[in-house]
Formats: sequence, structure tokens, C-alpha cells
Amino acid sequence: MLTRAGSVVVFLAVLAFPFFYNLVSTGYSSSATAQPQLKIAKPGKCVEDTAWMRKNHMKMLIHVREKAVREGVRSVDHSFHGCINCHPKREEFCNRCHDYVGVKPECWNCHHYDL
Amino acid sequence: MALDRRDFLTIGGLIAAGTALGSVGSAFSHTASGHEGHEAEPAVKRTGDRASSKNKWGMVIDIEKCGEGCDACVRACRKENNVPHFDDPKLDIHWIRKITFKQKGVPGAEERQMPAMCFHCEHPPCAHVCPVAATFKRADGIVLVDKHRCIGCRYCMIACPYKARSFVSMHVEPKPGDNRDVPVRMHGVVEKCNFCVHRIDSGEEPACVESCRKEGNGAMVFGDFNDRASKVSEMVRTSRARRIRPDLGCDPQVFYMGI
Ligand code: HEC
Ligand code: HEC
Ligand code: HEC
Repeated sequence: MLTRAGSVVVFLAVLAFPFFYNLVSTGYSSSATAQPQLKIAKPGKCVEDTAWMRKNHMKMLIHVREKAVREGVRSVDHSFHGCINCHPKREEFCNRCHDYVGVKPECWNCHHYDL
Repeated sequence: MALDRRDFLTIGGLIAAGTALGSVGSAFSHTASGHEGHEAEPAVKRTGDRASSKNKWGMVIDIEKCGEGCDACVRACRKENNVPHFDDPKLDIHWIRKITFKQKGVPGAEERQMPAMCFHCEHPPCAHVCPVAATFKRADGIVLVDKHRCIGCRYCMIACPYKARSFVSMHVEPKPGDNRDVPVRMHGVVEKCNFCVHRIDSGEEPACVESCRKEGNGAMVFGDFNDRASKVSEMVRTSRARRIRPDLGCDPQVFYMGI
């Protein structure tokens, strides 16, 4: 018969099983937690600071689009034309991050951008 | 240093005068550089780097010249803007179409043809009714649909007296031969002619006008109504160019000669 303390230990062991299982079977660097690997087709500089772009490119694109569509201020490098020029394949760049974080921008329904 | 009132006013006046002179100077240098920049004068010359109320784009179409059965403008528009073709005429998307009409109450009147598109009204009823401000009039008079905002309610289609608008009623796949400079469409938005706004912004005339001159009969002329020296202004001043249904009060910016 298990004592009360013994049953608590068994309960905790079962509760923590997934954690230990993961630790033993894959270690910490499982593919699910690895950083997305980006392919930079044309090394150099992005249109803005890299760290800033990582955080703010979605806001920037919306800003550029309001300017272009509503006011007719066309930007070559800060709009999709620019992104495509330097990051030609969505599959190797944009989507690697987006799949990782689970966002699905609906822009490609209308905008041409090769997978 | 303490300024007394007199000094303050003097300095203020000098600054104001300097600003005024500076802007006059830059206005002159602007016109000068505008002329030496290009060897070939662009077909469409917009003022500055953004849509501005200094321009007012519009079109004059001479129906006498418009050829029977010629559809150069329609084909060019479909190609430029990737407009898909649906077989059901009720669902088909049209930015420009050839319409056949017959003068009412004129004995023996013959059937005539003319191209019709969005007339880019001065007072667009479509923009007035849009609940999300997706349809709007740009500073230079072009009426646009911001497809990013459009929710597909179709109020604008009901409001437009000229039937210029179409609803995208099904999914459209981008095709390999598409013009990649122009985004395509999505099920559930309304669209219409935009005077090829991307071409205007880069100094070209709309695709229909270009093909009408090159392949058709040169019936369509595009230009700036704010520029008194432009061909369209002159045509509207000197000929009997007229609007369609002026009684509706929308003030279209597309004029027709010969009706
Ligand atoms: C002139 C070429 C160029 C253009 C145009 C360009 N990029 Fe970049 N971009 C780069 C380069 C090169 C890097 C990598 C910089 C580095 O490694 O520091 C980069 C990095 C980035 C990053 C950060 C990636 C990371 O390592 O986290 C993002 C996000 C990004 N770009 C998005 C965009 C978007 C969105 C556009 C279109 C508005 C765009 N870029 C346009 C060249 C460009
Ligand atoms: C460094 C990783 C990274 C790269 C590279 C990247 N993105 Fe993103 N992107 C994100 C993240 C994270 C979000 C989600 C932000 C949020 O949810 O607020 C996002 C969101 C967006 C959105 C807004 C989506 C929405 O529905 O609001 C757009 C548009 C976008 N990205 C475009 C691009 C384009 C175009 C590229 C390639 C040129 C690109 N991104 C490359 C990380 C990235
Ligand atoms: C329903 C179709 C549609 C969708 C979805 C769409 N766009 Fe657009 N977008 C357009 C059209 C059409 C234009 C062209 C308007 C013009 O030329 O005036 C445009 C223009 C733009 C421009 C300006 C291009 C230029 O010439 O500088 C930007 C930037 C832009 N879109 C960003 C986005 C982003 C970011 C998304 C996704 C969050 C998106 N769009 C989703 C249809 C769409």
C-alpha cells in the first residue's frame, strides 16, 4: 500500500513526465524551438536597421501602402518591389519566420511574390 | 539679449519676407529643372512627387473617330490590369467596355459605339456612400478603390449611375502571364477603372489611351484639365465636348465629342 507521501511522489512524477521525456529524447535544441533559418539572397543592408526591420516591417509596409495608395507617394525600395528585389523567394525568407510564429499575411492573395 | 517690441516685429517681418522670397525662388527652380530633366517629354507630367490638387486628370473621347468593332482599349486594359475574364456576363469584371447606343427620339438614328469606364466624377456618389472610406477621391481627382479597406458591401455599385463598378464574385488565381507591377484581386472586393494610377504616377498615360493611339483610331486623349495649354483643356474649350448625363450633377471628368 502507498503512503500518502508516496502517492504525492508518483503524482508529481507523472505530472513531470513530458518534461523529462522531452529532455531525454530531443535535448533543448529540438526543431520546434530552433530559430528560423533565414536565407539572405543578397547580403548587405536592409532598407532599415536589421533589428528594427525584424520588429517593425509589418507596420512599415502598412504605412508605405497608405502613402502609396492614398497620397500617390510611391516608394521603390520600401514597398513590395524592394522586398522582392533583395528577398526574392518568400519560402526562403518571409515564410520561415511567419510559419514559425504562425502569422499568415493575406497580402499574397493580390500581390505577386514568388513562393 | 532682450528684444523690444520694435525689434521683434522687424525680425518677424524679415523672416516672413525671406520665406516668401525663398518659395518664389524654389518655384522658379522647380519649373526650370522640370524641363531639362527629360529628353522626351513624358506623356503625363504630374506636379511634384505626390498626388496634388495642382493636377486634375481627365479624358476626352471623340466618338466620331471610335472605330466600329475596334476593342484595342478594352484589350489593353485587361492586359495592363490583369482583369480576368468570366464567361457569365453578369459576373464579368469590366474596367472599360464598349457600349452601343442609339439616339432617342431621332428618326433614322443609327447605332453607335463608344468606350465607357469610370468617369472619375468631381462629386463621386460612390465615395459618398462608402462606409469604410475605401473609395475616395485622390487630390488629383482620380477616384480610387483602396482594396485593402474594401469590405465588399457594394453600396458603391448601387450609387454609381454609370455602372462603372464590378464585384469580384469568385476566387481568381494569379496567372503566369500577369503584369507583375499591378496587384491582382481577391474574392469580395469591388473594383473599377483607376485611370491606370500606377502609370500616371510614373509619367505614363493610361493603357487604353496609349493603345487607342497606337492600334486604334486615336479617339481617346488624356491630360490635365488644370493645365490650360493641355490638349484636353483645349478640346473641351473649343469643341462641343460634353458629359454624359450632366443633369445627375456628378460632374464626370470624361468628356465625349460627337454625341
Ligand atoms: C537592398 C536590399 C534589401 C531590400 C530592398 C530589403 N531588404 Fe530586408 N534585408 C536585406 C539584407 C541584406 C538583410 C540582412 C541584414 C543583416 O543580416 O544584418 C535583411 C534583413 C531583413 C529582415 C531581418 C531578418 C533577420 O535576420 O531577422 C527583415 C524582417 C527584412 N529584411 C524584411 C524586409 C522587408 C519587409 C522588405 C521590403 C519592404 C525588405 N526587407 C527589403 C536586404 C534588403
Ligand atoms: C525575422 C522574422 C520575419 C521575417 C524575416 C519576416 N517577417 Fe513578417 N512578420 C514577422 C512576425 C513575427 C510577424 C507578426 C507580428 C504580429 O503578429 O504582430 C510578421 C507579420 C508580417 C505582416 C503583417 C501580417 C498581419 O496579418 O498583420 C506582414 C505584411 C509581413 N510580416 C510581411 C513580411 C514580408 C513581406 C517579409 C519578407 C520580405 C517578412 N514579413 C519577413 C516576422 C518576420
Ligand atoms: C484585395 C487585394 C489586395 C490585398 C489583399 C493586399 N493588397 Fe496591397 N495593393 C492592392 C492593390 C490593387 C494595390 C495598388 C494600388 C495602386 O496602385 O494605387 C496595392 C498596393 C499596395 C502597396 C503600394 C505599392 C506601391 O506601388 O508602392 C503596398 C505597400 C501594399 N499594397 C501592401 C500590402 C500589404 C502589406 C498587404 C497585406 C497586409 C496587402 N497590400 C494586401 C491590392 C491588395
